[in-house]
Order: sequence, then structure tokens, then C-alpha cells
Amino acid sequence: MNILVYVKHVVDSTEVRVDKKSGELVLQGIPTKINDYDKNAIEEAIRIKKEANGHVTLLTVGPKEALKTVKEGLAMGADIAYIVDDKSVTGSDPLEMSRILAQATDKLGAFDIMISGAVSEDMGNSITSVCVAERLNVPHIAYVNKVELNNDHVVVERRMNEVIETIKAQLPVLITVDRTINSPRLPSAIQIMKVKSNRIHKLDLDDLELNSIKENIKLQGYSVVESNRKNIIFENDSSIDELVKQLAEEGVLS
Amino acid sequence: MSAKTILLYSSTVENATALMSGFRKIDIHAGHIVLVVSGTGVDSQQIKEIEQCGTEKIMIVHTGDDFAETISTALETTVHEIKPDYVIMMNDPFETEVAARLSVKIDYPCFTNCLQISEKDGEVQLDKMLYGGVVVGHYVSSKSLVCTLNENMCSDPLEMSGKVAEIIDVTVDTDRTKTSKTIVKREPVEKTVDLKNAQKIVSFGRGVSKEEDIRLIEQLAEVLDAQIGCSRPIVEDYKWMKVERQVGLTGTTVNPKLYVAVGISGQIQHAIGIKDAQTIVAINNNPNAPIFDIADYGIVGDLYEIVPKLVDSIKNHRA
Repeated sequence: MNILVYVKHVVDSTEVRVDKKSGELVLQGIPTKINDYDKNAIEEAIRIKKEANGHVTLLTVGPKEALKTVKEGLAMGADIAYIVDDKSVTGSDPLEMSRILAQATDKLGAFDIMISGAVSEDMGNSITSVCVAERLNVPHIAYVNKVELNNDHVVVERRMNEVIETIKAQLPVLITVDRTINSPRLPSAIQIMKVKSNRIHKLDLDDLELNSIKENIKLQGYSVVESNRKNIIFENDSSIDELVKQLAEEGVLS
Repeated sequence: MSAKTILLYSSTVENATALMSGFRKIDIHAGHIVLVVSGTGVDSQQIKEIEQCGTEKIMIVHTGDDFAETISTALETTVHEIKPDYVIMMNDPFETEVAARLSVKIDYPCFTNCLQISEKDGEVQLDKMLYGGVVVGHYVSSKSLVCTLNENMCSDPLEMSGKVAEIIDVTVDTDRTKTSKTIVKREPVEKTVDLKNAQKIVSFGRGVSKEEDIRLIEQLAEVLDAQIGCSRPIVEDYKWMKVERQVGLTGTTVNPKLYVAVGISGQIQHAIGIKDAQTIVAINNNPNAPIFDIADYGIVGDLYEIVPKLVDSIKNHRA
């Protein structure tokens, strides 16, 4: 059972903030980490690996800091990792990102199951892996919260709005997982440190025989989302009755 | 600016109405507009509801299955026929899958969860929330594209145009689109916790120091007839609650009338998850907690003293 997991190295969205003086977005010096949803994907891959005597490969496109992300994934129990690092890729165009991932998937061998998180925390496109499935001409099942492997096929569950669907698919298949699927194990700092660097391989676009990545969608800038709240702060608890009265007047107590 | 050809796709009639309402807010001069709706479960009465939604043509696509693989193949044919400048859908989970597949087939870039589309100097300008909603990112696209619209854009009631669209039924040959997927079963979700649709939510965070103290929160929730939510550490670090109760970027994004945050510092990922709440009340002992910046009302103090008093005050008010 050959399993490939697509992982993304992201800026920690919980640390992204707006500088109060300049009003600018602070992105420099912010901690980076593995996309949380992709941790669930790795966990599920490791679970299947144990059950079916499999082999788990990690693939990421990202800067050299992505080393941290794949080391964490290897410490969790993946076998080998590939980092595609190319300065010409900004990641603003998910369709082009899927071109790189699909090409790398083809180059790295034949996989029975490809897994990723359903969405990335930073850009939140939630289409990249499905685009990869289309390019590889394999079926996909998105937003999955349960996977059962039976020899040559999987039976999975996913929640679509108010319906739970159970879907059967022949291998090979691409699955994107929801965070409810499992609780990813937490490798210790020592386990992460002990990951041997000979399990991590670097690739660039030339290695993938791709030279024409043209990102058609480009990020131009940001603007800050303003909040317009009342900000009425009571400094002591004698004002609780006053608060309840105001909430009642706003009609939010009934 | 020349009038643009638009292809709209919706997986259901309900989504079609919402999609049309969102489409009206886009700053594009539309000429030729075609709406495609998946045909499964659609009856003539439902078609009546949308036939005056403002497009000249509505294509009802009948397919053997309801997979994104099949629907995107059907749409690919339509794209080759009408050569749209934009293919637009709602940012529904299923539509997003269709958008992904279709964009590869027709080699259009794909932009999801879009807040605005406009044109300037021959470029398409696009906005979307990034980093879970901390900022709006401004993008440009150099070519025609597939877009999905943020659901908040599609929430206004749709005014009908008064013109009846031409309705065309199309049957897709599913042999050509065959996938190895089959639906084993479809079951409605058992409603246990539904924060997404809750009118009132009392949520707690690390300010609650022991698991048994959750009963304080339960008492407040009970008197308010509210659902209970929590912040990320309560689920991920303490494991006191299941992820279905987690409010925020990686949990559920909520939009209640009343949101009471008890002992929650208000990290950005939590703040984003509650930004659509009508009224936010925060209780925290740290006057500098970021939750107060995004609250309508705040009480600075010990939650163990304030929550019981708040419960009494609400009871007295009701009495």
C-alpha cells in the first residue's frame, strides 16, 4: 500500500496580526508550522500504513523552512519526504500549484492512496488537492471524516452540509480529510530532532521537468478587516444588572 | 467595457437563488448569462421558482450520478459552447469540488470564497479573506476564471426579474464520465450540537480552571437557552469538549444573536470565528485581553464571581 500525503507549510494564522500603529499586516517573523488539517492527513496515512503494511511519502511545495513541517511528519511515522523548493512559485495560484503536485506525484511513483487536509489555514482555497485528482485522472472524495480500507477499495464517510455520505471507491483514490477524522499524535521535540536528513529529498522544477509555471492569479496587497463593536467595558461587577438591561433592550436575551 | 458572458452553476435550486443574489452584487457588466442547475431531485414546481431569476437560459443537467467528476464534465461541454468570461458558483462544499475539477479541464484559474469581482484596465480584480479572516487579500487575474462566491454575499433575498428564462433539459452520457465511486448510503446528520445555526452561544476558554467548573457555564447557558461552545485549547489541549463545540478558525464559524465569551482571551483565530455575531459579551479578568477589543460589552473580573451574578441577574430580569 503506497500512500502519498500532500502537506503545506504555513504561517501560523493565530499569530498573524495587524500592527496597531501602522495598520499593516505583520507577516515577517511570525512562526510557521505544518497546516493543521495536513497533520490529520498524515495521522490517517500512518494508521492505514500500519493496517496494510504500507509506505508513506510526504510531498510539499515550499521554502526551506518547510523542512520543519516534513520533519514533524516523518517523526509522526511517515517514511520519506520530498520538498519542491523553487523561487518562481509564490503559491498564489492553486491551479498552478496543482500542476506541480500532480507532476511530482507522477515522478515519485505509483500511489494507491493520496491524502491531504481538506483546506489550508492560510489561503483557504480548498481546491488544490481536487485539482491534483483531476490532473491525475483519479477519483477524489473530499471532506472525509472516516476511512476504511478493504483490499482494492476504500469505504469513506463525509459530511456534506446536513447529510452524511458513505462512498465506496476503487484505488487509486485521492482523499481530503476533515479535522474530525482523528487526533494526530504529537511527536516529541527529540523525536523530531532525531529525524535523519537522508530521508528528506529536495526537488526543483527542473527535476520535475516543469519549466512553464505561470501563475495567472497574483496577490497584490491586503486590507485590514475593521471591527465596529460598541466596546462598552464595565470595570466592576456592580454593573451586571445594567448589562442585562442593555442586552434585553437589544433583543438578544429572548 | 464590453458585456461579459457568464456561466453560473448551482447544485440545487436553493443554491441557485442564493447564487443569483450574490451574482447581482458583482461589479461586472454582464451580457449573455446562462444558469446550469443539477437536475437530480429537481421538479417542475422548483423550476417555476427560479425561472424569473434573471438569466436568459436555464439548463437543467440530468446525470447518472451526482459526483463532481460528472458535473464538471457536463459543464466543460457548456463552456466550449458559450465560451464564458466567468464561471461563477457559490462557495458551497460541493460546488467547490466542481469548480476545482472544471478549472483544470478548461484551463481557467480558480478563485474560491470570493468577496468581490471587478474589472479594471483589462485585469480582473478579486478579493478574499486570508489567514482565517484577519485580512482581505486583493488579487488580480490575467485571464477568464472560475470563481466561487463567499456565502455571506449570497444571503439577500432575490428579486425576480419578471422575464421568464428558456428552460433546457440536458442529459449527460455518464458512460463517458464513469468514475469508480459509488454512493453506499446517504443519511441525514443527527443533530446533536449545531453551533452554526445557534441563536445564542455561551463559550468558555482557559479562564475556566477545572473541568468540573464547566457547570458554571452550563448554568449560564441554561438560563439563556444557549448552546455551549469553547475555544481551541479546551478541545485540543484539555480535551474537555469535542471538536463540534470548538468555535473559531479551525472549529465552527458562528453567527448567533448573542455570543458570551467567558474566560476566553480572544486570540485572532477565535475572534474570526465570531465576527458575524450580532452582540458579543466578554467576561475576562485581564483588562488587556484582546477579546475586549472585539466585544460590544465587557466585564473585567473573576468569572467565578461574575457568572453566578449574571445568572441571577438574568433570572431576576425575567421574573
